[in-house]
Amino acid sequence: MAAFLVRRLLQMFLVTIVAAICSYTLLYISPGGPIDQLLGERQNGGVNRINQDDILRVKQRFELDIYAPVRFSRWLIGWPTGPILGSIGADWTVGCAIPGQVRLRYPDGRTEIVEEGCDQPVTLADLEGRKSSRGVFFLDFGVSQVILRDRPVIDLIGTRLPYTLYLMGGSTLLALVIAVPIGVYSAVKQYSRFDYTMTTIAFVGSSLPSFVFGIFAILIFSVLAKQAGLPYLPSGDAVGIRDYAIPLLGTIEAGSFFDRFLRFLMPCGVLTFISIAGWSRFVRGSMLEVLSQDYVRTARAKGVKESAVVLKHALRNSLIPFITLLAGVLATLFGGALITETVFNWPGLGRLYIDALGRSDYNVANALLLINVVLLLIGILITDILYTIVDPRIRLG
Amino acid sequence: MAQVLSQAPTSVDTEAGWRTIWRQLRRSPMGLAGLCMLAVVLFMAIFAPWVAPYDPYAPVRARIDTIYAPPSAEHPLGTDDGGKDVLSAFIFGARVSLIVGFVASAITVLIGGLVGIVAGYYGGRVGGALMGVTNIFLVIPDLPLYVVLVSLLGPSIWNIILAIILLSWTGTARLVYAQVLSIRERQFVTRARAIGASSGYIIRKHILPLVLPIILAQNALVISIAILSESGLAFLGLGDPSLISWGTMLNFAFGRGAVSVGAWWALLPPGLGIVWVVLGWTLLGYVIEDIVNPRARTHHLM
Repeated sequence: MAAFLVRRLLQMFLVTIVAAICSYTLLYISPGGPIDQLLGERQNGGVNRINQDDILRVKQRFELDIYAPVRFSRWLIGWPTGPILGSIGADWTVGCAIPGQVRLRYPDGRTEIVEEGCDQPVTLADLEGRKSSRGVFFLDFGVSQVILRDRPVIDLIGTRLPYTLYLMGGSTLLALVIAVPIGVYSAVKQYSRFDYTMTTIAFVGSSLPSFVFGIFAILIFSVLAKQAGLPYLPSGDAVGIRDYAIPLLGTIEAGSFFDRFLRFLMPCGVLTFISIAGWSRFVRGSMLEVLSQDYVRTARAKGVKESAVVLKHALRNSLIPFITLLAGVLATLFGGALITETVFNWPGLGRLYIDALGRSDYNVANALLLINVVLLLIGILITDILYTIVDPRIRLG
Repeated sequence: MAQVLSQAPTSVDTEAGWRTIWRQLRRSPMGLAGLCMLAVVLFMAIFAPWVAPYDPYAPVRARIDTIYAPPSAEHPLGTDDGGKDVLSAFIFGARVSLIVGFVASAITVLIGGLVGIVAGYYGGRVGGALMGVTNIFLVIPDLPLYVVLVSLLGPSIWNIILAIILLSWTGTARLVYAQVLSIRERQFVTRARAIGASSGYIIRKHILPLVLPIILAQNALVISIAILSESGLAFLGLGDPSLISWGTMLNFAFGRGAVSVGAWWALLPPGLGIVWVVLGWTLLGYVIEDIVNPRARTHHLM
């Protein structure tokens, strides 16, 4: 067990580093970064003239004037923050603030300005005064660059986390409570009308993308219900800004518990339904497999009550494969549901990620992606350990 | 794991095997439903220019009374935010879904199948390396990576297909790998090797015919995943801006106030279209998998 844990933790560490490198590189080479945005403004506007200083400032904020490997190392472990050991390599070039420009003249008379070399290099000594994080590795994700400028990413995540947690937690719990009985009952009454109905619903549910379902829900429960003068549900956001009146229910105070609850219903319902569709099928399948085992027949032959056979003998064993599915839950609890949160304008971490990508807030996007990977790895580890607990035949090795 | 334990189909006679699959497919109500659903979409996609009342790509001068106009004789499904006919856009949108589905799944299954067979047959270090890569891909969350990849490559339909392939070939490879591992140990392979058959011959004559049906079932599943991914990306605004797909229709309608004006005709058709085509492929994949590999049934619909 100990050897297994050590090996697995080491493996997880390596995978995390690889994932960190991948996500960091991917984000920084994607086009449409902050400099492009700035230059775009210059071309479009003309009102706010942007000069070299502005570009320099933006570059400094995003650390774009530092070479990628050094930048990555600063992000990962918060080093180097200045000359090594206080004095070594103060004049080593680690980046370039203003690239050199070369005018190329082609034989046919065209000229073109190409960036080449470096006019004003950045040295280790220049890094000394700069703000820098202690490094992702030491759980400091740096500061948000765009969304909440210069506030720690952790703060930003902290304000969004509760929303994601209670949306995902609520829907996961609800889905579990509903899906397991449905799966068990469908298996016990295989090929009954109930089973066929549930199968149909599961098929439709698994083909129904969350945004389609979400839009339909908003259309029916918010817009059309409101038009028809029926009680309706608010269509988005987690908390209302103004009081509003709903037929039959009266005026609802913005920010009250009831207001939050009404807004919680639709996104939670969408996520729950989609989980139920998959999970109930899964429980049904593994339950069917267990019900055909010899020991179940033995239990029945001994005269054990049918309810005891199903709930005690069969259900317990049929839930073992189900643990695998729950491994991903830890990560989704935190990562939230990107698309559902976008549809319902839910201020959770999923939407934060989309926002961060759209506005090139790299520190935020990177932090979220990395946390997600780590949680998924932890989820897989917990699953493996849980397996040995519920099924003693499985040994870790 | 159950994949390794499960029995591969025993029929080596490919011709008869395919005919059996086809016969059983036609007999199962689910498979038949899936086939019919897909036939409708396929017809719509192929004959779009003749079926659609208008050309959705032609520029339209929008007037205030033609924006989100409710269904009428002139526009059976009303108009969208740009005053264009929703029905025509819906019909042409089927093309994008099917193209993404077919191309992405064909290449995915080709790469995945090839890697799976090679790794499974030669085993050892190749298999280990493959599983290592697969495990890394399994850990990285799908949707965030899609979003990053597509914004990195640029939102064109081919880049979306590329991203889908990059993220889904490992699943097929894993599945085929597990199958080949179990087939490799079967007696007829050992015998063929004892007679002196080359690896290429064994793969072609003994392994491929047994793996192909499983790849076929996987193909239907990959198609539905690809269509879902494309429409999801398009809904987030990362669709190909030069093409009309169901996802971009939803994105525009949702982002431009169709919900608040209650223009259900701009939202329902693309939404139902996605569900329709994905459901068709899911049904088909489920039934084919049920026929070729009955024990793997429980692994569906996760």
